[in-house]
Amino acid sequence: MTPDDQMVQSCWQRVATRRRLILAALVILPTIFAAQVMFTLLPPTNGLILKSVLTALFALLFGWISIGFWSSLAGVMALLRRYDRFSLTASREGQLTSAARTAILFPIYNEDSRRVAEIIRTVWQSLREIGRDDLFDIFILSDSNKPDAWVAEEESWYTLCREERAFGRIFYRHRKFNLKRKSGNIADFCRRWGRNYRYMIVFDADSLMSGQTLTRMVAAMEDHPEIGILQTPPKAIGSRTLLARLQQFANHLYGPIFAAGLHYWQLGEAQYWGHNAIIRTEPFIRHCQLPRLPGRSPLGGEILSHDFVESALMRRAGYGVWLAYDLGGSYEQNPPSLIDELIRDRRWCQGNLQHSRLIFTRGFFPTHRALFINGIMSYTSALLWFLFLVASTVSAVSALIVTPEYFPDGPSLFPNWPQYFPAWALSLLSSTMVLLFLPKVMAILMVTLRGGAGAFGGAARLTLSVLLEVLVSTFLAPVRMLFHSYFVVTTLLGLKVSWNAQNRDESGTTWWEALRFHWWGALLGLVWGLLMYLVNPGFFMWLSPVVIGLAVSWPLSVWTSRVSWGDFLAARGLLMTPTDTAPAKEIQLYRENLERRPAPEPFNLTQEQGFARAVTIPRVFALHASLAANRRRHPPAQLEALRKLVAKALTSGPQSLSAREKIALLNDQASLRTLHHEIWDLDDERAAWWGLST
Amino acid sequence: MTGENYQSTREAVDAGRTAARARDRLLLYVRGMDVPPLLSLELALEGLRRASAGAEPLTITGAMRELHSLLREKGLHTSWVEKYGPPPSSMPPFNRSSMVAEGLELSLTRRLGHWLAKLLTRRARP
Repeated sequence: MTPDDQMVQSCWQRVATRRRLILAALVILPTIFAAQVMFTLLPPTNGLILKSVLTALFALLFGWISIGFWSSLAGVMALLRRYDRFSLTASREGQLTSAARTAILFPIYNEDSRRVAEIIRTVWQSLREIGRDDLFDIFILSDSNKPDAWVAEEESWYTLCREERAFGRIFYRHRKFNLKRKSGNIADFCRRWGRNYRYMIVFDADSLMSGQTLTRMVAAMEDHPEIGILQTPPKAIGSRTLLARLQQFANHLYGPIFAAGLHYWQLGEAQYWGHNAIIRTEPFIRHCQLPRLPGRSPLGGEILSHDFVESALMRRAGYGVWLAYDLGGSYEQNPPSLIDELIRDRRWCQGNLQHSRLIFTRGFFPTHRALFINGIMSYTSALLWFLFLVASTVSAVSALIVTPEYFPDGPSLFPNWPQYFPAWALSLLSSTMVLLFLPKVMAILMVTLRGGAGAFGGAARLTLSVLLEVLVSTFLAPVRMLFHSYFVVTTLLGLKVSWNAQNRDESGTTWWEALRFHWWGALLGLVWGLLMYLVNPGFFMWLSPVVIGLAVSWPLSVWTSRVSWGDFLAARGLLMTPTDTAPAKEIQLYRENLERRPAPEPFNLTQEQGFARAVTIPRVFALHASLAANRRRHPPAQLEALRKLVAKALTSGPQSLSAREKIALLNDQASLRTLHHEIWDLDDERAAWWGLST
Repeated sequence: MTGENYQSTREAVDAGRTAARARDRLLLYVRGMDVPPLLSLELALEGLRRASAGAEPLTITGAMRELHSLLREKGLHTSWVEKYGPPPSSMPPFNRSSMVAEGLELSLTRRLGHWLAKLLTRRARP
């Protein structure tokens, strides 16, 4: 870095330190005060231990929600000022040279290849439209281990390149062994081709970014050589189920405020979220390779949530990590159902808990240590809330069972009446409510005052949508709490997480599926609620949002996964977002591309039958053989095993082969060729298994 | 119709059906190739002509064998994608570099030890 870059760094570092000290004071001081009030309010029958436990849990949770509140408030202030001296987006796009070559990476894992191909097509067309496609190459980095998905990806890549005339610009690489998962996939790219590119922009399988945004990101990096990673805040798009639409609405309404708030505190020590971000390749290769954590899984082994660690490593190397909070044209898609969201959270939870091992790592900056704690708290706060509710229940029950001690030991003139302070209780409750709901109110006001309510369906519908979002979120919060608590406990007990592809289809959760997932939570809610109603009806009223949320988790999970509910509300102008009312050009283009239909084929094989397609259809066979098949000689035992597999496939059809057997065949060119030739000689009955019906 | 006539008629019908199936299979194969439509029809026609030229009746196996040998002759047996479409260079040439993980010193106690040692050595200096 040049002395100029260092000077820039020291300037924002001074401001950031000041802002973070203010944040710490704003969080810590009211938390101490609120905890004191809480301690006073608890009934004396609770005893010192229970009171202390309740107060400690309350203080942690109060502090936790305070961080979100103050971040939102800072965000509102930052957006209202309309000027930010640390904004990075006012860059000179027109002056980009070919030296700023950038690779756009799409790491994929058993995804819907057609959808990914249409995203890539949209990005490529968007870049072409502004005439900057010369600056970018696209890499599809596949870690797929399902044979059908693998072949489908190859076909999609070939079709895309042919239709867009992008051979030599859009590349496809399939990894045989997916070591270190996504981070290993990116690292593999860096080792092979990283030196060819000054920057890389990482996408998720469901990310979308406009050509304009991509170019602006490169320009920002060119203007600021001291930046290592520039993250954009992706906006949710393409949601149709009720849950996804609720989240999309919240993301569009509250997201910009929250992102501006994060930028306000973090400045050059922000986080990398794993996608929709641009990375300076050279320092990334030099400093951001992830080591294996000592010890065994779940807290040891490969680092799962690699992105947070990579940003800490980049910062440790002296480069800034920034959030371009005011940069639009960056999108992602939400999980369609509660179950899909929770399955994803299970993975993230283990990844974030692993960061507890990294908090004290030498050389990391304090902000990144704090962000590790923040990530850990994202899930452990659920467990803390659950424990707080359990302790509150114990407190409520003990208040009925334990008789107050009116006459303690020793002489006294008056009885010792238990004291309650309803005014204090109300103030505490109202301040907690303010922390939770004021950011939402501020978001409505900001959007309305700036004339943006129309994009959300108008002021009235916007308010109604917020109320709906609050209502559903209130009932979903205890369900998420319970599952996150379960995830934390099981992770700490050493149970592993498997790496499943994220579900992105909108077929909805079935009743049976939801019952299998939620029965224990619903049962807990019913029993807990019933007991409290019988024992202490007053406390039941306080607890009711939690226990009712748990009790109805089964139908709630099904209903929120329904496209029909999302469409019903959208038709009435509720939960609308700017992407619905005035979609950006790239979103329109993506929707049009998604509606493309593949050319009709004479084979009775769907795109999902990738293995059978590779073996049967000459075009697909030739493509796969030229891209993937292994031409190496095998030892005799392996050759014999492959021969048996070919025979099995011919006599019993593709359905008789396991995924591993299909992969073995796909990896061997000789076996594949034999199978291909033999299949075309089969009689009609057996040929029909392979899609050949004449 | 006599028994012999019936038998010969039936054989002729069966042979006709087999030939039709072989023709359809061959046509399906060339349709599945990534070659221009006119060329695919020419290939099918030539394959059928060769398969029918022999003394034996036309079968699926025979037709496919002739087609494959024809494809080999024309150099299309494995590489029609390269020949009739742009080359499927799915990856650019490698430009290898290494990516080695820097050490992470995770332990707080060890870090405190380092810090103390550093502090003491600094104090010890004149």
